[in-house]
Amino acid sequence: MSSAAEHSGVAEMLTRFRTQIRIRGDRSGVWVLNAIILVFLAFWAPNFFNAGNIHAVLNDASILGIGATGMTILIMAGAFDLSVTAIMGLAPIVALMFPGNLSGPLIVLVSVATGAILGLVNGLIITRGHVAPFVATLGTLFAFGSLGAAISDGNAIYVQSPFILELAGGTVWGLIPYSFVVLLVVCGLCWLILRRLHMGRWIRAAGSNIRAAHVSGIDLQWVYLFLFVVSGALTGLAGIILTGYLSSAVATQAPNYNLNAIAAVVVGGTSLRGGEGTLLGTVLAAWLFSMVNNGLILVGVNSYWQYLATGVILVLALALGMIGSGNYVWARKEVKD
Amino acid sequence: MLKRVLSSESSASIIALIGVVVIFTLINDRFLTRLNIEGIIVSASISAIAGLGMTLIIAMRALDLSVGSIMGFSAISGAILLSYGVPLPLVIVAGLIVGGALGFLNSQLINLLRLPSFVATLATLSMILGGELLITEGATVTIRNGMSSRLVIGKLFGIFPWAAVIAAIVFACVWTIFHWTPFGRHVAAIGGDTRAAVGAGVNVKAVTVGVFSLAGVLAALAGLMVAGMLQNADSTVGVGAELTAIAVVVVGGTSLMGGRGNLVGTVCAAFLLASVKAGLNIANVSSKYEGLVFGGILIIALMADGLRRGTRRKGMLVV
Repeated sequence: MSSAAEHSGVAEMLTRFRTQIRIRGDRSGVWVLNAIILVFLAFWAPNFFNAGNIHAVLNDASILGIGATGMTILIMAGAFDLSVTAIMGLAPIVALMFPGNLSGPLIVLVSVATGAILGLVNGLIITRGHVAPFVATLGTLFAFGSLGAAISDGNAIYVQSPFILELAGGTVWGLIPYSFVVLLVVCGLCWLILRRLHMGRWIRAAGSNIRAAHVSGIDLQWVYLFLFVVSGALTGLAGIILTGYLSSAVATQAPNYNLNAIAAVVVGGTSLRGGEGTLLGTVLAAWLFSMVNNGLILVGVNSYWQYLATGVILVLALALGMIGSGNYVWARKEVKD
Repeated sequence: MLKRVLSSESSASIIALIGVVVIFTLINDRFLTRLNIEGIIVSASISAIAGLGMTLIIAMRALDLSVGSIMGFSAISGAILLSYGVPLPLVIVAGLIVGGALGFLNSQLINLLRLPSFVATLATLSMILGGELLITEGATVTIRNGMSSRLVIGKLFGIFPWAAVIAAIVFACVWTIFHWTPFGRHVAAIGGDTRAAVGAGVNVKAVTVGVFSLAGVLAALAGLMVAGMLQNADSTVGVGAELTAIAVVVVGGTSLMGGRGNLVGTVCAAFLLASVKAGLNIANVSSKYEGLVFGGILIIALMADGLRRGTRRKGMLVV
């Protein structure tokens, strides 16, 4: 961190600011980008700050964020879950098609439970079947996706329950969607797991050096099973909220959710190598992506630019992170790994 | 000899391929008709070409998630150029150059910005897709060029489907590059142990540029072939193709940990996938179940691979 301070007085000031509010250099990308874009929007699209609009953006960000939070702790443990896209579709479909006239809260529960079971399948394939997570979840992505399409027969399943519609669309104080409240609760739980339970240490140990973790007696099978179940459950939750927002469940309702979630995790500052991570960063990144997409529409830009924007943000955030950590290839004073 | 084949890295896909062919023929003997087999060969050739590029990348312990987008972009570029009356040979060259340039872009993001390949190609996946949409504005570009169709579906000397001929040539080139050139050895070296490779003097940045550009060119070729076959192109071409390509490479026996690349296995796995799709189609199974079957094959193939390698230990193989 100190090598950044070698460059100039401004950098030194920024470094001190950063240290004071405890933002690590290599995670500053998401903060900087958020700040820049908020300023930009204040000038060029002030209607961004309307209550209704903020509500929509928060909702979008929360839906992505809930799944991305699960992905964060998975990546911290050194694994991936590529099947979340499929779970986002399959879990709500199963919940809505579940026999018996289920009440709203029960449907949500079934969706979460279905997600958890699908996550369990992932976990079992990885721990008992000894298949690498990347590949295993690639396989289940195909398989679950196919199941979703088959069960729903390609049709949209409509949401009847007012509870779910309210959960997805309703707000606290007219501004903060319930989905954001859910996200905060989820983050709180994950924070508890990471920093207050033994599991958190095991997760980070597994992510930093899996052999050392194994040799020191950590039950890795349990850790990964747990993580995939949690990831699946959270995805099931995000899925039913999205379904409520769209008023119907379609198997492909969250295209590229897996890549978007991983992007949010990475932009937020969690390293793909695992061992360390930031939940706050993930939430900020989910907000960032959501804000940019919304902002582009408000500014009147062709919606096709959104894809370009997502990619550019990804690159920018990481490049800024590299500069912030003093690791940038042009600024390197000594050879870093 | 049989033992050597069975214990080779591509054994999983070879066995699966034979099994699949047998099963589907038993279900419906229309599976073995010439029309069906030709369809399988064309489809397999196209995915094999993209898969071969991906094999090299995975051998280098990297990932290229933008392959699908490059396919789409080159398909669209080719279609647009043809609609302006540009002669086909020029269109093909231009398309390949576009693919190479996009691959080069990938490599620069990785080299200059030191982004992990996963992230860099994730970004370009989005950016290139955005580019595609901006160019086509969501519309489909039609091609009216019989030659481009014949070059894919038509047959050399009336017997060998051109797609397979092209794939065979590509295979020969990639094989030569990978096994007989220093570049190819460097690719595997970087994947096996990057530090050792650097220590041995391998120019990692140059090899990265080479591998990703090559993958881009091959993806572009696959995209052009798809466009020629369908006689149109839009932004849905190649969507999701990168994941399928990775699956094909992995089923073919190449490990995601890098260090080796099984080109033969990739081709076998491509045939496997194509056969499964065609077989399900003929057996009148809804195409919705394709994913289930292919996902299952992927997982089972890897479980078997783990068994064969003797890498079933309590600690996990984490990528």
